[in-house]
Amino acid sequence: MRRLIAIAVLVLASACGGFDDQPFKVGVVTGKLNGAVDTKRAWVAVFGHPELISLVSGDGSFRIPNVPVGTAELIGIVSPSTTLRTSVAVTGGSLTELGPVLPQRAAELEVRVMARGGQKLSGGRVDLAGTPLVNLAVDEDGDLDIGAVPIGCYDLAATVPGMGARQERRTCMTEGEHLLVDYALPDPNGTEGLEGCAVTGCLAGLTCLDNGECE
Amino acid sequence: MACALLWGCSHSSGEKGGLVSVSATPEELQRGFESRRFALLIGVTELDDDAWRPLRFAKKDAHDFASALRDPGLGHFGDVTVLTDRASTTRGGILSAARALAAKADRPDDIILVYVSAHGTLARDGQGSLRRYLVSSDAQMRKASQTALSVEELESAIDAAGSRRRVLVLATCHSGAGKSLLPSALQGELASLKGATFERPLEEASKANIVLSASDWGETAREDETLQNDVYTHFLVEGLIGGADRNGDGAVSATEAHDYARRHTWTFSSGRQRPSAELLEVGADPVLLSGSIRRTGQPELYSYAPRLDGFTVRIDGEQRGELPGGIALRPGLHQIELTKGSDVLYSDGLNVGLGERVDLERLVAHTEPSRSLSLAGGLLGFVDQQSRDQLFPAAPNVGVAFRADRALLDRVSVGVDLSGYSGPQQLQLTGGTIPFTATSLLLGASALYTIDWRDLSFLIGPRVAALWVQRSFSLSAYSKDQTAFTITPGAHVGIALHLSRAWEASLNGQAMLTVLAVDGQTRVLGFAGGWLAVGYRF
Repeated sequence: MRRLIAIAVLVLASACGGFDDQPFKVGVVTGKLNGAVDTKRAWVAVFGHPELISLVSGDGSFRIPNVPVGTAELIGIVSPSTTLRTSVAVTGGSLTELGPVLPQRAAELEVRVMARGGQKLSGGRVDLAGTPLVNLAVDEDGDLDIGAVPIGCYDLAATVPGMGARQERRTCMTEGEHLLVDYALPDPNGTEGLEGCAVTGCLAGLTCLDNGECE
Repeated sequence: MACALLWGCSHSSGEKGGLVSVSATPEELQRGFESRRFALLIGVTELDDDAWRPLRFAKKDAHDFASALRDPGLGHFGDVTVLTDRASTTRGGILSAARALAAKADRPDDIILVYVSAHGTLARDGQGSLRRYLVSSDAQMRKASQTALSVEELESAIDAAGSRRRVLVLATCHSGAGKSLLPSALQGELASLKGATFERPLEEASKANIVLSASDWGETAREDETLQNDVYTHFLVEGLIGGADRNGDGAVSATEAHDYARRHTWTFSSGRQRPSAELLEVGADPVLLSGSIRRTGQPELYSYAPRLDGFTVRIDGEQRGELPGGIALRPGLHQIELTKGSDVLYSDGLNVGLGERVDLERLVAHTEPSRSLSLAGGLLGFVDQQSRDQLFPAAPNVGVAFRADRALLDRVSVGVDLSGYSGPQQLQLTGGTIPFTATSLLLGASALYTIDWRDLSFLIGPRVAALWVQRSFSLSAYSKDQTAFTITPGAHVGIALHLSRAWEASLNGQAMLTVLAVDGQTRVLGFAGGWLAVGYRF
């Protein structure tokens, strides 16, 4: 038995080097955007993998490494009025070069987060799932103007951290569309749990009643 | 008491061993050194089942052979038992007699001869294997495997003897004709098989046995009206009486008698019956069936090896006989040739002296090329499809192989091979195909148990190999070499066909276990391949 173990150890010890297939499970995507680029705001990312993101240089070029092989959907913001949403086939271990890409006219997205009954909610957050646009904070009135968004469909979610309330909605946008999405989050603890509009205030155009609700 | 005896023994002489004087005449002393000779002769003539054709001369065969063996001037066997009546030739009767004989012959130098003249048949045993059976008087054709006597059973009974000199003579056959009767279903099955695929009936003898057969496998043993005997038995007895003493030493050995009977049976049957023999006590034939050695015999050349079957022996340019068998020659230097058609297997000078017996198979083996250097080509790859797709595809390999026959032990050869490959390949991954240049180098060594049969050598044994593989990628986003090296234990099987004295072709297979690091994890993978080789023997 000892002899067998010794032989096994010898065989294992005598193996060196090895193969690594990981480099072939991902590829690199590069491209160049045509037209005016707002280098301060512009980015291109892989939809579904927001961590795979590249800034866009002044000449419109970008480079995203480690993109999983297969069909990848690229999204991006080019300027306040133009965006990018396109598909690309990624080959393992290879550089996939997108030719000159003409940005599309952006859709515009605005979100308002309030409590059911019209009361203001502070600390609301908005996520555009699968994009780098996540954990965006609404203002004190519960409003968030995201601005230019690549056209297409998203799972748009609104949450108030600490309250446990979350609402998700499938939202689709077309070129040039301006979309306002309202979220009225339920109070998981009931109305009594809220401090009432006397404290929170009501959204614009609503009046605070004695019972603490807005009308 | 045992202690007292031990004390007595050790104390009486004061030292270990010692000689004790006895009084004996030279004749008594001679008898004490002579080997005892036992014979059991069985002739099965009377049969319970009418389905068997009656044999006319089986009883006479046994009695004629027994007479020659009993004759003080010939066989001078001291203990000869003949069984021919229905009651004593049952399966149980024959086995009992064989066991009784084995019990009596308990000295290593005792000689046992068992002779059976009977029908033979074939039947499937409980495991479905085709076995040889001797038709005892109580054997039923429809239930042969349960009622007849299997040859293995008889051999086993004889093997129990302390004697190391045993001869089993089967004047029977199992071919389905002549002295062999088979059920019609089995006859049909055998007819579709061709003889060569049968288990050879009489060549599976246990060590130190000499088994002589009246016919080769698939041939028919015959009785003859003119001879009033089984043909082979007739000439075997005739050989004992005179004429078979090939080397002229005054005695007829078992192989001399067989060679005589074989030659004459062959001629008498016009080549239709070719008795066979299997000698497992190679190089010596201590079983004398008739006479006694009065002088040193002439030198002899012999072989009963199947691989030399059919070769012609030429001595000093003169054709002297055909193998298997033996040939006596004058002492001195002779030119020995073994030929088959225009092929010359062996041709060399040989100096032989009186009493010398030369095994031609050994002679040939010593002068035959024992090494080969081959060019080989084949296919090598991982056993599992996933590894072939994702790690390294199966690739053609070319290389060289060297083999030294019987370099380690009598039957263990050593093989060393080096093969390699370099060429374009592709990985088949989920995201598509990945092109790369594959390079592999395999250096292996095998210890191969070798069995030679005619012009074929069968090789099997453990193997160890050093495997180096490289994948060179030159992709737009990844350009790198990945290299792995591993020692792989495994097994090697092969078959080599000797095309001529100088050339051979071989087919080899190997299976190995490789240990490889894949994506950072150690994996044990099966690696296998095969190659065809053509080699020069030297």
